[in-house]
Amino acid sequence: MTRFGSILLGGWLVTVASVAVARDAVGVITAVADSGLVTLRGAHERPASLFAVIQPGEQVVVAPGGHATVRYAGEDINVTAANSPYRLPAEETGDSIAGNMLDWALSVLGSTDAELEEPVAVAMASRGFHSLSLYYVGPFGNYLQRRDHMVVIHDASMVVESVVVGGELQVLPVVPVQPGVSAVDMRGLPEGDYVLHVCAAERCLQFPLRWQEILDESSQAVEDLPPELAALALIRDGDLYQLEGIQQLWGARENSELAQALFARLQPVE
Amino acid sequence: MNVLVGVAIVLWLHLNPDSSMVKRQQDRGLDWLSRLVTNTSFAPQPSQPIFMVNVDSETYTEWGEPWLTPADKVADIIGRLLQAGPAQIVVDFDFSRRRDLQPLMEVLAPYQEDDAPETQLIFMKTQSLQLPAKSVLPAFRRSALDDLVASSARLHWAAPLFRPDRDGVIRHWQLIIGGCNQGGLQLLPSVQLLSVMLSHGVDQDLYALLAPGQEGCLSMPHFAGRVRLNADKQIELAGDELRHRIVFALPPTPEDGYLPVDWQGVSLPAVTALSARDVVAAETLATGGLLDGALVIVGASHRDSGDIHMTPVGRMPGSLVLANSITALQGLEQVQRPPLLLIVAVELLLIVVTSWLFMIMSPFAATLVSSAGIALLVVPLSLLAFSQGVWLDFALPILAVQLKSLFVEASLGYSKMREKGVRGLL
Repeated sequence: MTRFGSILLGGWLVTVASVAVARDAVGVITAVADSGLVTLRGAHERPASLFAVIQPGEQVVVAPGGHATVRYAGEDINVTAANSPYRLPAEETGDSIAGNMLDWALSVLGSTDAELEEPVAVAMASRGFHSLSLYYVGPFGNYLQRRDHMVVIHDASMVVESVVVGGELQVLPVVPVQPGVSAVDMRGLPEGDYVLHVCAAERCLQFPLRWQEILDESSQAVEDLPPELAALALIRDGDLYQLEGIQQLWGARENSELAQALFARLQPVE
Repeated sequence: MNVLVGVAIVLWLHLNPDSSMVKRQQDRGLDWLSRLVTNTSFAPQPSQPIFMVNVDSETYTEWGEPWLTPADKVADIIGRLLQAGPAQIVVDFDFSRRRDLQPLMEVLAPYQEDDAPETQLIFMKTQSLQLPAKSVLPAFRRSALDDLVASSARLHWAAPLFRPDRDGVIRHWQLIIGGCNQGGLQLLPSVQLLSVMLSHGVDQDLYALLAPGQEGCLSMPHFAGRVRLNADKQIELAGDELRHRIVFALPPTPEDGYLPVDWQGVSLPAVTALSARDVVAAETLATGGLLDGALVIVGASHRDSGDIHMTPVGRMPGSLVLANSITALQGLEQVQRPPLLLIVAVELLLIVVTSWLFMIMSPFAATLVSSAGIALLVVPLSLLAFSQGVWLDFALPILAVQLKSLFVEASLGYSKMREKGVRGLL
């Protein structure tokens, strides 16, 4: 028993002693702005670049206008002309069992907990909730034939406040035509590729738009069908022409009860 | 009598390994041990450092908080990384159900040529929530990259699927994931398994590892074989949960930096994480530098990504869970128990000692002393054993002591009641 105890005690002492020592590591350049202005000076001078290694004792030299970040011993050290030249100190990196045990003990006692140091707020919402949802709009492309107005279908509970052409900050007039449907005045928008920002309740949703005088052949494949069904086929197939299908169905509404019924069915029930 | 009670308790614990009480105690024990060894030389030692390119909060904000990580930006990052010649790039984004992948296809076009890049590229394949008809396995989602990946031996799909426990903590991995494709069983390797196999140049037929009779989509696939990496190392696919436990060597934000790993003649941190915006802003990445032959993981770490997970060592992005899994599978034999004979010997010893303590002390004092004794004596040995991938279960003996304490107190209460009636209990 005594012998077994001394083996265990030896194991304990060896464990604690051996893990108390961490090892030196090098620094790594993790960001550099204008690498021509940043050099590393050690046994020989070399230009700084992303992933370049810097040894303890070496210097980072930054000329005015330059900037570099060195990741070293768990810290990001920003070096600019103001604190240049920066000499990398010699520090141990990594953790020890004793340190981890202390961290654990302190966290159990409530003195510290890395998890709690950073205030984290978690939104109990799926993506898109509390913001506008647009329907029948593709995130990566929408082909639309030029016309005076474009209708967009959205949540009936939201009111579209503005539609802005991205990049050009051109505001397009928008009017609600019925709950969940808004008409955007497109007369001032020439043919071209745009990103439209549709905004409601201080949140904007953007989608790309290819605004064309004449649509290409892909949208003509269903032209032999009655207009309501041709529009429905475009919507059903999704992809790039579903928004065009919505416009066609909207246009057919005035002369077709079928189109009216189909359009009403397409609006999501909330 | 005391010894017999101890033996009975330990026997019951061993015979009921899946009882919630035993599992919870074991999880707590292993979690605690994981937390102690993480980022120390007792954790799995990475055979090489891992470089991470993170779409972090700063990058996400700078890119205008995009709904989906833009494919052109990811393509730009991959293009730059390929210049530096890493051995593997793990791209931790879901590219299913997307139609904006043209920039990515362009950057991967050289993989269809004769002098394709040497770098192995691993993409993530996720599964649909909907089960196909007559299947208990979901289908893998299709991607616009499917044909391209199928056309090159250096482009791969892997499944980034993990099994969170009931408390939401990720502790275990799945090494091979089954899905259903047109009524047939489809297998994909996990990221960690594929990465380690590629590092060792192993081309393993996953279907050959299926247990007998495992076909079709009507049952979850079970595996019986092992993947032999070299003469000394093999990965067991069967076995209990313990074998599939992830030992987290890389914590999310170590205060003093990551443990150094020898790489290209210098001691590099085990993980070097860069912001994606800094990589995109870099002029070029030098060839023949640190990334030459390295492992790079590109992923998202911002909170909106929905890819932040709880682990025994804290919350971390999914890409760091992948890094930990690769490191654990590379640097350590899978966790296993010591030989049964050793377990029996140690437990018998503990039973005798604790029984003796319960004879000479009050139950409270005996519980305290035996629990402290087990912690002081067995924990250091557990640490030493754990670094070799062996788990000396100190949690079970402590649970046995607690149960025994309850038993002794109940016995005393019963004796008093027999002596003095109900008043004896008051």
